[in-house]
Amino acid sequence: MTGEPPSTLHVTAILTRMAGRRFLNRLGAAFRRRRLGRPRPGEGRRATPPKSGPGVILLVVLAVRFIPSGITISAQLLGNLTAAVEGPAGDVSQHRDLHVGFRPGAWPEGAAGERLLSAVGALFTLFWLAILFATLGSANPDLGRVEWSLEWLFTFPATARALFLAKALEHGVVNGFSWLTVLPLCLVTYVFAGRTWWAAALLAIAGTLYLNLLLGAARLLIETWLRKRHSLSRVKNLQALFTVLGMLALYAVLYIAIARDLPGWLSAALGDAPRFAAWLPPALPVTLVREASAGTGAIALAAFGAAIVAAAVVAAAWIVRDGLVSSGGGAYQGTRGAPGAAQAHGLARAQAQAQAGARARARTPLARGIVGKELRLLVRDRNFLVQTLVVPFLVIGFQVLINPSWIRAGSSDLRHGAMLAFGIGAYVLMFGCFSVLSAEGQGLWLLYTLPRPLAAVLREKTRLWAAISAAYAIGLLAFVGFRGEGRDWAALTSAAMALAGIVVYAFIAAGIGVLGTNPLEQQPGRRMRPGMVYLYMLLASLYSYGIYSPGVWDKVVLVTLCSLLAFALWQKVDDRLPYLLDPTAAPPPRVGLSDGLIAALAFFCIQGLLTLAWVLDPSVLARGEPPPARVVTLAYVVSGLLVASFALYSFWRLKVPRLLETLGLRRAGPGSPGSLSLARATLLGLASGLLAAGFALLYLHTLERVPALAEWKREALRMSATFREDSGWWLALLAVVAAPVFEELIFRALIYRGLRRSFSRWPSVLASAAIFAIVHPPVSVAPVFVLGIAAALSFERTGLLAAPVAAHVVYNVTVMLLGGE
Amino acid sequence: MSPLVEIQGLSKRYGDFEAVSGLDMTVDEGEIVALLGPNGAGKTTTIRMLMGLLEPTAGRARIRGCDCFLERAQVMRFVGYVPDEPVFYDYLRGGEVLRFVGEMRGFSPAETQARTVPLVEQLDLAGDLEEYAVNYSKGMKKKLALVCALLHEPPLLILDEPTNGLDPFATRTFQAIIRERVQAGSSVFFSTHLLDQAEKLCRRVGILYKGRLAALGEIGELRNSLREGGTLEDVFFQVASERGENVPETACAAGGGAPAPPAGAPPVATGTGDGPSGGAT
Repeated sequence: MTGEPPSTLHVTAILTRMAGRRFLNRLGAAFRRRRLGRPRPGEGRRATPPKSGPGVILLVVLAVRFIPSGITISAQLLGNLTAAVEGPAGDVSQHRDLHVGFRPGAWPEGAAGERLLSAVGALFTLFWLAILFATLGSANPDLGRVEWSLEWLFTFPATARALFLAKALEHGVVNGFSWLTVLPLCLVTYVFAGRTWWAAALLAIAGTLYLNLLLGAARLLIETWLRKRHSLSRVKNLQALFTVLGMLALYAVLYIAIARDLPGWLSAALGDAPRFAAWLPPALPVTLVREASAGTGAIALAAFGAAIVAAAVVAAAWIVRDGLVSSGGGAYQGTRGAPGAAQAHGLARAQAQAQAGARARARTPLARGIVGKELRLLVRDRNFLVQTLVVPFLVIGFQVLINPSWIRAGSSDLRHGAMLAFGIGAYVLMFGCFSVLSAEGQGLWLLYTLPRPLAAVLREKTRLWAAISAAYAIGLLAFVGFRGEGRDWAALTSAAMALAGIVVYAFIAAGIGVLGTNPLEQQPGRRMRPGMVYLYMLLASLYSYGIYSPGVWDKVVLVTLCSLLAFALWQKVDDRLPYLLDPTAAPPPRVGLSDGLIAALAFFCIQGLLTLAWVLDPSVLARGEPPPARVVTLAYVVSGLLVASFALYSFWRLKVPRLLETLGLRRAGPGSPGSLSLARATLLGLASGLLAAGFALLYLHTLERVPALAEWKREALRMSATFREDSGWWLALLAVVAAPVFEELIFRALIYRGLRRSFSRWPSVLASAAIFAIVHPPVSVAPVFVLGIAAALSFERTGLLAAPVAAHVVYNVTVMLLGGE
Repeated sequence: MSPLVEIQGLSKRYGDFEAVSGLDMTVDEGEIVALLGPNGAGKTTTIRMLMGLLEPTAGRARIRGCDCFLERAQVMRFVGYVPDEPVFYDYLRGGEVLRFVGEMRGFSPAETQARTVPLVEQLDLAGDLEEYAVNYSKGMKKKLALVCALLHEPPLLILDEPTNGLDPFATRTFQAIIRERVQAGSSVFFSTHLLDQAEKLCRRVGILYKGRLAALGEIGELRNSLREGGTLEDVFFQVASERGENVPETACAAGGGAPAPPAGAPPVATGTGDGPSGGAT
């Protein structure tokens, strides 16, 4: 026998405490990954810390970033609305420039003030609806689940009203997005109306709380009614619709705030908003703008909010008076329980099976296996369809709407069109490829039972999404290409670059998505670490350089480097996949290709930044002159030391086994492959370097003998000169010490070793040499490629970094002394 | 002939908690072996290590000579697996799940159909294949998972609590299918906490308790190790009481007068020499 059922307030307190405890446990898990030592005798099993945390720091940064953005957009919104209401009424023919600026206390007087009240009320309602639809949409973790959390709560001895009250308060009060967006809007509105800052702050908090309570009440009612009246499949379809409506409403608000020039009809509609718009429930905070004192207004808002929540609770309890959910049918709209199902069951099974067999035989090869499964789910799961295909369309469409010059630019110059096409494709990839792993959900176990590597299955999914994203891009390219001119070869290579980029970035997006997904996370919305999205967007933005670059060589280099990045990411994916379903184990730390690429990128970026910082006369660079050798050399050395130190420290912290042997900094054990003494390794390196230098001299001599090539060489050297020849000692330091040491550490110890994990000797040698060559000026690619081969082979043979360093030193010295330039 | 399944010193630790410790056992061709144990004993963890879903902290598991973790994809060619609680994709019908699994195993839709029709008939699933799998009851999902596991006629079936959630009819059908497979040459390794089920199906059992193998051997010999004509339940409770579990007094009394080995002693092993000590204690 249980005791007395808890009261309504007690239930609310219990559920609130539970929500808080869950939140704190999630936060605490991020900081509890260190071992706490063995349990003491008698102490039970402790909570197993998770492998990754919720990205708390990034969330805090994003949250803080929201507030000033919200204030800015709110101020623009009020300024634009003021311009709309102060213009000639009924004038629908003119576009007008709306940026009149925001000023505290500038709320108009008289009729214009009344019209502004209605317009702001309408906007508040529209914004509130946008948030409501968003909370009901695809991101709602509870509504679309077969096991609805309210079903479990209803098994407790608590009244429906008590449970609904707790839910409404939780939905309303604990809504971070709403607080971060609505609070700035309310604050700016009250300041614009002439309130003092403290009064505006008090009213803004009360107004936000009121709107959140309204949100919680509406969400409670709608969720309860949906789950009561509709099957889960229909609910999920409605969720997809809510997502689209929410985005449209939000973009409408943003458009009014951001657009410099509203269409006349919209401006007139805003200026003549109906009077009742100021009295809609979400607009109530607006009606208090000029009426009541701050204290009275806050109390009134709180009272109204409480009343609305109470009414919603009573209404929800009435909805479930005959049960929380309806009986009959499955969670999805299937055949069991449907009228005639029993009859169908009684039909000849052979007939039904024959029909099913015929359908299966008629299925095209395209629709089989993992691709068939994905396409089937994409078509049936409207939520998934909207998330992956419709939302990107809306997002890009909004950007084009507020920037109509993009289409004109794309039509006039196909490079702009190519950039736009790549942007759309990359954006679609962010929704499709990012979720190649997380979309499997709890059905992931099934893929593990199949005799195929999981990586192969995920790559097949990635190819499908690459094709879908490319279709978007091809469509846009066809549109702008058909409309406009500018179809020269350069433009066409930009278009090809865009399409190639979509294929490459499909694998980059999928790789990042897999690495950032925690498949053990119960809530689908939390499976992906939020920082990964920003990483992907940053990488995608770098690709624009290649599209706009006029030179083919730059394009080739960028595509090659991005392809390498994709490969490096998937090398890490291959390491991680066997440990996906293990709550504690992680892949053993190893040096990978990605480590080398990151080191190379950091090296060149830091070197460039230091060069810029240390050039005392910035006009030197502005005139296109190379900086002094001293500056370049010092930047090189400092950058190399920083990157090398950080890399070694990181590997040491991660406890990479046999680190020094892996990097060639210590001889491997006797009898190990490639273990030679330091002296012999150095000699072998010197010999390799001499051979490479011989090829380089022959190459340079050949260039001089052919006049056209000689001219190309002189022009290329002039354009790629990295420093002035003002000090031989600095040049010697760079060529004989800095460049060999740091470049060999990056390109051989890291990149070559990383490639060697996945490939045999010769493919790794050639690939590392190619990477080494393409980061050098075009005129020196051939001899540097040969040097790369020689260095890699000597490293493979000796296992010591001294060998390729010696090869590099000999090469540089020989070419400098005998090469002529 | 080398065993089909070899488990040597298999251990798994989650942080400070040791879920499985030093497990040694084998499964031969054509054998049914059960892994018994109370809730939280480490049965599912053991099975997940056999399936390559978890990396062992120590020791290794091999199926047909292939390492279960390092060569998982290869091992899956020989294995059919039914988890304790199968979950299927939303928006896929039962028939479509079967076709998907068949295609992923390299069978054409017609071949998949031919292989699955007898099984779905036997399991009384034929009329529900057009229903979304997510709408299935727990037992129906188990049946669908069993068909997925048997589709490619694997030499080894690994079942995690196979009859958990099944009605008596389905339980009997499951057991019949298992026996048929074994007669056809397959082996079965399954975990359960239902002692009577193990007694009906198996020749050998291992009893896992708090991550350690507490007993291993043929059922008859394990029974008789305590007293003549004893039951597997007697053995189970005896093992538990040795390790400090509060066992109901009636069960201890029924366990009889065999001397209790001290706590931490090697598992009770009989006859077949599979225990770590290689013989009876």
